[in-house]
Amino acid sequence: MTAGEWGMLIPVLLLSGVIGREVLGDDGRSTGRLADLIVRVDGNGTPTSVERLVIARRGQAALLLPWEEVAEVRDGQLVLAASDLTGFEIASVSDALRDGEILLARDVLDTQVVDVVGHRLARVADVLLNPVDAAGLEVLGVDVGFRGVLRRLGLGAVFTPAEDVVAWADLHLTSERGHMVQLSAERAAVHRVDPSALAAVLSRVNTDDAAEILAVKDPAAAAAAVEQTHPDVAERALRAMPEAKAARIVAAMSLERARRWRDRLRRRPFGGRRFLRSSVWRRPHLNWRLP
Amino acid sequence: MSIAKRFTNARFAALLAVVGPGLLAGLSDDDPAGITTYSVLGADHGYQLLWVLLLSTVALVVFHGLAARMGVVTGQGLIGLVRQRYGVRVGGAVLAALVVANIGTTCAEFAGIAAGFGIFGISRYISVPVAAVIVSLLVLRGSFHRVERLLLLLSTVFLAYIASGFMAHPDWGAALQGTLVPTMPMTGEAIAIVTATLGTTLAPWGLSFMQSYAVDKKLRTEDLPLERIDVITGAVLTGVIGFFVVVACAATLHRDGLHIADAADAAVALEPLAGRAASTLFAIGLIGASFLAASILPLSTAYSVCEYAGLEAAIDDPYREARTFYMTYGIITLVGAVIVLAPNAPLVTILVGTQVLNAVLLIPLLIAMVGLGRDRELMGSFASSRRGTLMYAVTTAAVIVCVVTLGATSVLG
Repeated sequence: MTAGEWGMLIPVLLLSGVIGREVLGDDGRSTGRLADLIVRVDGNGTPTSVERLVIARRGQAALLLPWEEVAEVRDGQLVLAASDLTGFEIASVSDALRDGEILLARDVLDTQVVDVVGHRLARVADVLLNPVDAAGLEVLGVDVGFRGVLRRLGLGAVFTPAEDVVAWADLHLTSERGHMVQLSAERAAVHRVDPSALAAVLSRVNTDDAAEILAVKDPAAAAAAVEQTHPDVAERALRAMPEAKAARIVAAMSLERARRWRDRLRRRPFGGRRFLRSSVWRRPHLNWRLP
Repeated sequence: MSIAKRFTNARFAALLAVVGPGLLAGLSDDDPAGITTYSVLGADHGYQLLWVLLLSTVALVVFHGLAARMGVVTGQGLIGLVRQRYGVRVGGAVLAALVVANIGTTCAEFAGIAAGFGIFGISRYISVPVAAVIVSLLVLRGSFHRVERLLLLLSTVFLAYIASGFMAHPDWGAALQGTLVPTMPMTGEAIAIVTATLGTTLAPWGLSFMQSYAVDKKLRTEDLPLERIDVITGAVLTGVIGFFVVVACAATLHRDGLHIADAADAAVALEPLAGRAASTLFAIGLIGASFLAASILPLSTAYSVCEYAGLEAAIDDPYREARTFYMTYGIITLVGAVIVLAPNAPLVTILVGTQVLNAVLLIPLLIAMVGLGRDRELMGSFASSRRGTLMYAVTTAAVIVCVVTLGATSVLG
């Protein structure tokens, strides 16, 4: 996204600026500190909005509240509509998460993400939030620049539209939960992008994740992505899948390609690993195509 | 060929494809500082304290194994994980301390190169710049596997220590007894050398290198059983080489009541006692060990800096795609070499300060590793079990006791 487009979206709120702040009850007293925000990756509404929040309390069980309990966001500080919060206590945040939900601070902030459009692996320095009105906090995207790190360390300037930002819709999360949730979410980036962008994702996640992504695609889409991926990367991913699944993907290719891939996968020198052959490990280059 | 034999061959070949991280991370711990510690251990106490090497080998197996597992399961290096789990502040503080400590350790490695070549009458103003250039070209020009092959080849110079140990004609019975029966004189000096051996075997840069390198090698969870063999082999070889260094010094220097200050001293002192060949082999081992560690330290630092900055890079990346990686590598090498060559640099202060910083930094890193290793959100089904966590905690506690004791004995004299 260009600086101009982001300019339209300012003012934004930064996740690092709201996490850890005190959350006030309607009587103005502190109820605890904001520990995390929960979003649903495949929610009903687009854009993605914060659905629930986690409040940590000293010496007491954490609270899990629906966003509707928030009366307003005042300069990055949340003010609740009530102060009696009995009934919202939880024993464990992980157990309380529903399918499709992720925690912004735990599963996104400071984790690695693949920028599907920009074809790169990056680490999240901050999450950009937009308070649309009193009732909603929309997730715009993530800041992946090093300036974001400096800003959080207190060494850099304030947020400007020129930051290195990736839109929320263009991300593939690589954190344990982020990856799994996005795999099963219909509207997540890995399910919307074209084969070349998917190839970029496959090249940048680890082999097991790449195999999982290929496994959930339909064979034709997976085959199209494999054809656009560096053969060594694709080979690693196909070998990491159950043989029957890999065979279905190969079968969805054109006859000639399918034959070449079957030959390639049948060769299993040294138990499937080639000893000291740099070609197996070479990192793919951006615009690689089959010869 | 029988099916069983073919299966064994395939397994062996698969193992060969996986080895590397454990061997390199282990063996590079036998750097000049390590060899010096072993030499002093042998020269001052003979065979009596050899059992310490068994303990340090166990500590290496435990934590290098954990680092490998964390790298393979999460696909991230240690500093990257620390930032993800503990945030930019803790991550930044750890990284800053690590970079300073690594620069100091790189100085120690170049000082080892200077001392090793000095024995053969080659000036440090020739040996150090040439070594710095070779070390830089190795990583800048090589693909991952070429680099790995060269480093593994370089590791074979450690055989020189084994040969040197045999040439010293040690008393094998006494050596075996010293290894298996733990006894020690309760003097401040003995406590200091025991804790130094234990507390410096595990190094912060070795742990972060282990994990980042396993990621760069693109190992997968199904490789973990083989990777475990790699880690154990590396740690055992590290201990075995330490054993032979101690034995060589015990059979000669200790017998004649000679004291030494560092590994180069030991090489020189060996000549009249064990012959010129033993002395030469000892010096060659020192040079090789320094070279290996001088290549791995900048590499480890470059991985860590890139992980923290979110610009993950690999040895196979071309320069234009991984500037931060190669710039960090170059700067660390350059600074290390320049400090060693600077006429008025307080080298001894730097080396002692570095050892202290490494020991202090090790404590938070080990605690972070134990915490990360048992985190199910990060490690999934590969998270440490309760028993595993207990084992890591006990090892960490032992290392902390050593570091604190070492600090106390050096302060109290």
